[in-house]
Amino acid sequence: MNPVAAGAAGLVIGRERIAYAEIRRTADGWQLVASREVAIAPDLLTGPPAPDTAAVLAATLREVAGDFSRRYLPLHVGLADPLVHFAVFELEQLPVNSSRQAEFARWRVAEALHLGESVCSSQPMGADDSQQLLLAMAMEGTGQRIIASALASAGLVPWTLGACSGRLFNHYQPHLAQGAAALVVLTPDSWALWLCDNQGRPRRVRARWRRAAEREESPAADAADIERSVVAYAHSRPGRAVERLLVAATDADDAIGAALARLAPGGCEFLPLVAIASSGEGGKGLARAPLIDLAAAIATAS
Amino acid sequence: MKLTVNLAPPPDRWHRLPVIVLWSLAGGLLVAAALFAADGLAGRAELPRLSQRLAQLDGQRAAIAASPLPPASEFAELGRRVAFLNQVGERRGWDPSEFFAWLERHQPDDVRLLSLQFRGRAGEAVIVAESAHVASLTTFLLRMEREPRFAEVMLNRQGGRGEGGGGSQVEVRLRFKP
Repeated sequence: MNPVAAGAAGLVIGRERIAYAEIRRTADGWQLVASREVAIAPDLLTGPPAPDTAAVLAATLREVAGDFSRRYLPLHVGLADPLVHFAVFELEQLPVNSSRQAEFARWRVAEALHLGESVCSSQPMGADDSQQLLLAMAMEGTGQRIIASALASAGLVPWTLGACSGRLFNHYQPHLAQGAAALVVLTPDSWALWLCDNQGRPRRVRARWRRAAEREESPAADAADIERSVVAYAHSRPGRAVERLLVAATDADDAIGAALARLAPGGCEFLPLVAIASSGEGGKGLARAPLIDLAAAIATAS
Repeated sequence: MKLTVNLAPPPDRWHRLPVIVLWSLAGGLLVAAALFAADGLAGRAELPRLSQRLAQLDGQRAAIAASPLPPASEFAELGRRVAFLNQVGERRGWDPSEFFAWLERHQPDDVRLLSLQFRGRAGEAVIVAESAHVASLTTFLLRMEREPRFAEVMLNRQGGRGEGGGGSQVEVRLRFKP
């Protein structure tokens, strides 16, 4: 998707905040050169769409992206994971061409996830025994159109648009390919669980908004929810297992991560986000926040 | 396995046009470069033969340069001879044989040509003719005047025949048209 580039930008659209990060490649690695974070109404994207939703979102995007629309850089837009749905289909045979594959994936997603009208993108993942695997990423059509329209109104052309954890999945691929593993991506407003087979291919993906932060037991409840999903996946079919539990969190002290570490019998492996330094003199005033670090991380992931 | 799924809307169709144009242009340039490269390779195949030919010509040039040129006086003599021949060949209007052929056709039988001075470079001729009958000389003069290729016919002199005979004698100068 993104060949080696001298720079890139990441935009994370979360439930309550939108974060933008622009990074540049240097001899020492990646460097953050611009960042911004802006709050949005909590139900702007999760609630029923209002007539002015796209306009409000566009205004916020213009504010957060600054003068990015006047420059050319690859822009990776990551959506909060619960806004995007994943499904893996096991088929005897893949559709003959890409258009039929897209049509088939849209139909199966609508049927399996009860999405109604949706926008879908699919990708073959190779064979498992005699079954062909097809991964589909989908989103409600209305929501996708609102976001696409807002991006266009703000003068932003996304290079990629998908779930934040999907971008991080590519970044952590070397870890996932070492055996059957579960990857938990913890962001400020949601979590996503990627259950992968021993070849590092996703076989089940689940994402939820975090439980209300004011409830004290919420991190433990979320961790228990994740654990149940892992156990259910491991017992869903003979031969399935989860040998390692990998946790990638935007906040190193994430309470869900700590709760997971207590719950998992073998403990967790905590994976760091991409290390990105703030730029020198100009970077003194750069904002750093978990969502901004996530935006920077999805910009680096290829 | 890397994920390539992407929900970004496809670019507007009009946005593809410049991309298509640029790709076509790039393809055309690539084809042109390939043709030039092929042409260059063909030229390289010709190189040994052309080098050999050049060496031959160089040898010939060296041989010519080695042979001594004639002295300048010989060139000057040659120049004078060429100028003389050009002078001899230079004429205006009629050729002498052509003029004699004309006289043969138009000169009346009883008119005698006493003398002829043909001045080719001046483009004129002077003839002296006599006849026992003035009418024959008059006819001859009229024929000369009517000849369109003569620019001018002038009667220089007119008089009686010598030796006390009858008839008359005329001297006429003719100017040929160039």
